[in-house]
Amino acid sequence: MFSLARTTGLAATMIIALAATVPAHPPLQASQTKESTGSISGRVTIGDVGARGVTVLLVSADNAPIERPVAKSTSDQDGHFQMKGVPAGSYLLQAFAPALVAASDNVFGRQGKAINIIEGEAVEGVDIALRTGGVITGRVTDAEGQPLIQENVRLFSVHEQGRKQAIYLSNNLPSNSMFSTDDRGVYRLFGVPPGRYIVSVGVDTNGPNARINTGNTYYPLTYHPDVTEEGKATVIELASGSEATGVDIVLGRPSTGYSVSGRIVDAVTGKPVVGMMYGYGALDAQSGRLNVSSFTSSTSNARGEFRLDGVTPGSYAAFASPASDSEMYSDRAPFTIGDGDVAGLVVKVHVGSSIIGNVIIEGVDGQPGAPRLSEIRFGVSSGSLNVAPRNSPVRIAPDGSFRTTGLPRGIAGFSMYYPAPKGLALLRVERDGVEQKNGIEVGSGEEISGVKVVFAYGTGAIRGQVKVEGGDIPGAAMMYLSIRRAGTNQSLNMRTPTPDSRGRFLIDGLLPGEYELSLLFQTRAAPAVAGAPPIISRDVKQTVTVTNRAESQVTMLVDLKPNDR
Amino acid sequence: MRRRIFTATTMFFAASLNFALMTFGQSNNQGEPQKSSARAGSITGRVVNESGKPMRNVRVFVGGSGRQSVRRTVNTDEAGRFVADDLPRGSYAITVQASGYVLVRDPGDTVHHRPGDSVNLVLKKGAAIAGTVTNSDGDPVVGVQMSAILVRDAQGRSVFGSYGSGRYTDDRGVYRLFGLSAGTYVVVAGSKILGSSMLTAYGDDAPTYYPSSTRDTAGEVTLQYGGEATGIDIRYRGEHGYAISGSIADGSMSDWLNTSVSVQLMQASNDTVEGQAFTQPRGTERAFAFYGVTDGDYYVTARRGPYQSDDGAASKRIPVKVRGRDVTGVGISLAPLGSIAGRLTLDLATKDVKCETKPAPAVEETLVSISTDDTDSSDPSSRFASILITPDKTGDFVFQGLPAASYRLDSRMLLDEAWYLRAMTVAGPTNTPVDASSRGIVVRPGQRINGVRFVLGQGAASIRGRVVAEKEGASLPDRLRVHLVPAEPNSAEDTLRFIEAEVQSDNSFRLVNVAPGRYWLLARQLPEEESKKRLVRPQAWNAAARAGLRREAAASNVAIDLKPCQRVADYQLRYTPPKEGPQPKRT
Repeated sequence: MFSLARTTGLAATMIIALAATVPAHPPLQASQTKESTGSISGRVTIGDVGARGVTVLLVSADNAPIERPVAKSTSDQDGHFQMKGVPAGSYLLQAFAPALVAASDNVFGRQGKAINIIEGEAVEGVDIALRTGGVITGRVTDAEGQPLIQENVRLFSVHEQGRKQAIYLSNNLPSNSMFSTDDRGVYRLFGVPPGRYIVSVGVDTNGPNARINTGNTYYPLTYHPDVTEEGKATVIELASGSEATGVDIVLGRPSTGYSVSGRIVDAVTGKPVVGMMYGYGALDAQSGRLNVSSFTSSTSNARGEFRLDGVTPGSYAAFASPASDSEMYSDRAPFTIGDGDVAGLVVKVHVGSSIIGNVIIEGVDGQPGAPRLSEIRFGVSSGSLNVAPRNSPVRIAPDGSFRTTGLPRGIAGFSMYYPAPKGLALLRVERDGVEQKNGIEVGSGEEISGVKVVFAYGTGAIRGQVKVEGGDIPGAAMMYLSIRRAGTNQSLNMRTPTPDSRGRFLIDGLLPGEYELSLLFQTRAAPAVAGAPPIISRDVKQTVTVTNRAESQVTMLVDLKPNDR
Repeated sequence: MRRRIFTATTMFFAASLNFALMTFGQSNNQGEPQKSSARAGSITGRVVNESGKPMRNVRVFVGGSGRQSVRRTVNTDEAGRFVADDLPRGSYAITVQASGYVLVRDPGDTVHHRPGDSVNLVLKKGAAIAGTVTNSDGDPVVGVQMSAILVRDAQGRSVFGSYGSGRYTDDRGVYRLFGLSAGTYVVVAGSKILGSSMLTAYGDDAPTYYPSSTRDTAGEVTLQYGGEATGIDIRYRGEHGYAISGSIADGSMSDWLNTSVSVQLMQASNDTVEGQAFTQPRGTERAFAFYGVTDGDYYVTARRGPYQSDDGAASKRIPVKVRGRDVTGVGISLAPLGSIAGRLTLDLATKDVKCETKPAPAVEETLVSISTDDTDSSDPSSRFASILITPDKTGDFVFQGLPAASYRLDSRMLLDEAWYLRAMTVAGPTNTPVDASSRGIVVRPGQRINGVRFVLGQGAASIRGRVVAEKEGASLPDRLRVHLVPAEPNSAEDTLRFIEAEVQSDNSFRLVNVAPGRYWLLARQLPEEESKKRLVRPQAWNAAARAGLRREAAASNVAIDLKPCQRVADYQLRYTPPKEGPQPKRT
């Protein structure tokens, strides 16, 4: 990296731009949509009263990173909004209102109401009910009363039986903005749903963490007002629209982390490895996997020595981090921190094996819009628990050839990186024409060639409609879809959409074949039905045959009548 | 965890947009006698706040500037002390990061240090700006991104292309930006400077500047360290901004498809970054778009990594004018980047005088700088940037990833006052060395230039002193610079012997690493236009300016004979205002 001569604190105000997946498509102009005449309208309410001036956004329901809204509208005096010129497609409708709280319509992360709209359709009555969010604010100071600046605050909701759950407010703002204290030590969380909460700062040494470059001291997890035991934390009862002020946290003395030092050496020659980056990760006791890893940009010195500071008690493994195109791979060197430093750790680095091969995509046939080889990202991992994690995708040359190195002995597994173009799936891996169902066996110092990684491109789709026998879909219904290849237990590596309020859904990018579609339908029983369970749940399955470039229609019929035993 | 490459992107963009703050021309030495000769492998130091109180658990970055340099992150202890040990010989840039604080160096202080040095670093509490953003109905604007853009530094000099930290308005529309350097800012709601992966309601809006303005009419906020400007309220206009979109073509390299390309939108008049976009390949093209752009004149440029190599690519500045509607179909072409490689040698020939009996610096302790020198730009506030690297042990260095442009190299940023730059050459057409100091080195797209040679000689002299007024007690004008002009006829065109330095606020100046010989000394006032820039283009770079300087210097006839290793202290240089025109007054 070039070094810049910096003389003053402009360095502090220089911004490392956030990595942004920013609009890569030209703006949606009216002329481009070929005069779509679809429209979506509804009403925004806050506490059941029409809300003026709330911006409503329509975004694509694709799993690709959201770029910009397809349409935007602001609610009028009575809370009504209308979007015109909406093309056919699958969307999510959400209000941009960070201070307000919406019922989460889509459990699996994406906020908003699912809407499937066909060309020219006028979808009405899409109402968005919001509540004023609550506010929790306070100040974080140390034992001497000095503010803690840019310290991260964590919010937990507390359930009956005292269980706590970490809350990340999904209000379209980067979390570090709200959950981070300012120069006065003040934080302000807003748009918080009503509930019971506890607030904390500091490092949870009970959970996995691999702190790096954060200094030799740290604050243990401390809850409002000033306690380190969760049971003694003051619970904040937050009603809708209320503001809990003075939720201060006073920290005690910082604790000292420990240091870990050792050497990185070549496994064969024993010679020190100079100038290599390194890192460490928290070991999961049960699985042996690294739960969380951190990499430092420091490098081993002329004697191959390295050092990690500020490590909290726990079980870890250290490793060297060769460059992504390096022939080397690193062992993991486990260590445990109790109440003292660890020295003399030896991290061994080996020359690994290589795999040379080609990538092809089946089913493309010169179709417009088909993915190109350049859009594929896949990784090769050893799965060995003794080896340090690698995390860069394999680079594919324009002709589809690739070479990946630094592989340890063992079974090399291939997997696709996400996000990936829609319809792309890793079908199989061949070696010299023979399918390697369980991955490729890699020896020591081998160069394996003749590998073919076959991707398939599916353009089949399932267009479905959920129907309730003898009636409409109740407003409070929750519907969850899952899909898998018929005859297997393997669910597809794709996020299935949620049917919208009219029961419509579209699953696309499917390879041809037979699929089993499952619908979990849940709704509240009508009141005044004595003896009936409060939640009615139904499972509906359908088998669907999918072919490329075609939509298979399917109806999922739900029978809400009570089961007769 | 995916390692982000974008920090490298912005580092280079930052470099190419005047982030490096170097006063060109003179070595920024501590001004003290050289430290002990022992080059122990540690740099130690202490970080304190403005009142001298030690700052504990603060991150200190010690980074070598060469290709194989060591980079270290260390933390200060309870007493604010830090040690970066086991450092091979070399020059290391030291920076500090502490939330809410700004590292402030005195104008003469150097960023680079060598093992054996002990450094005192002062962190000042950053300033803060706070206020409320409301719309025309008086309702709070919630969740809009706020930025403070530094327009002038604490000394009143323009800073181009600088931007500040972004936070968001809360549920009351209240924002607070903090950790800011002293200086003058404009404050903006809804800027796209940082790009945005968040889906917000403000994506198509043109940004609104404090108090409720466009950039041209924005109110300014001046801050001191530790100060606070409150009530900086903004009435958000929410006017629709236009879109600029297009695509990027890269003819140079085939394997770029997996790499991200970053695109910047800049104001044409002052190089401020308006927006950034990072594009991934999507099918056959790389499309980009900026939204919420107001009417005005802009440039769009794109860059692609890998950066620390010969394989990156960059585009020219593509002018874009926005006049009341979207601009589509902007084509950006990436051209390969070039490099300039060379070797620096310390001439240890016995002809030279050794100034002190101490070991010569190692070649890897020197610094070589490169700056763009856009002489063909019509805009006099040229895009002047500076990057420093240290050579390898062999003296070899290479600047990679250079867009096509004219460059000036230099090696006067020496940490050792005993040395001066004797010659800078580049391999000529017949491979004989040709002087490279009087003209820039032109790099064409993808061109690899080798054979740059720096020769440093021993026996350098130095002059420290003050500028004084003609009449005792009279005041001196601002914007003074001191020039050393070679008086010997056979050095008349030796660009390397034209040395200039800024006069500090206490009227002191420092000219170091000067080749022995006969010179004229001249104190001149910089024209107002020039002085507003953070980096002043040395007079020596222009033949006509050199001639003009010689005439002026000869006329004022203040001569000095510098012997090898001579250290002149307390020199009093009289400033004589030019005869024509009114007497300049101190403002």
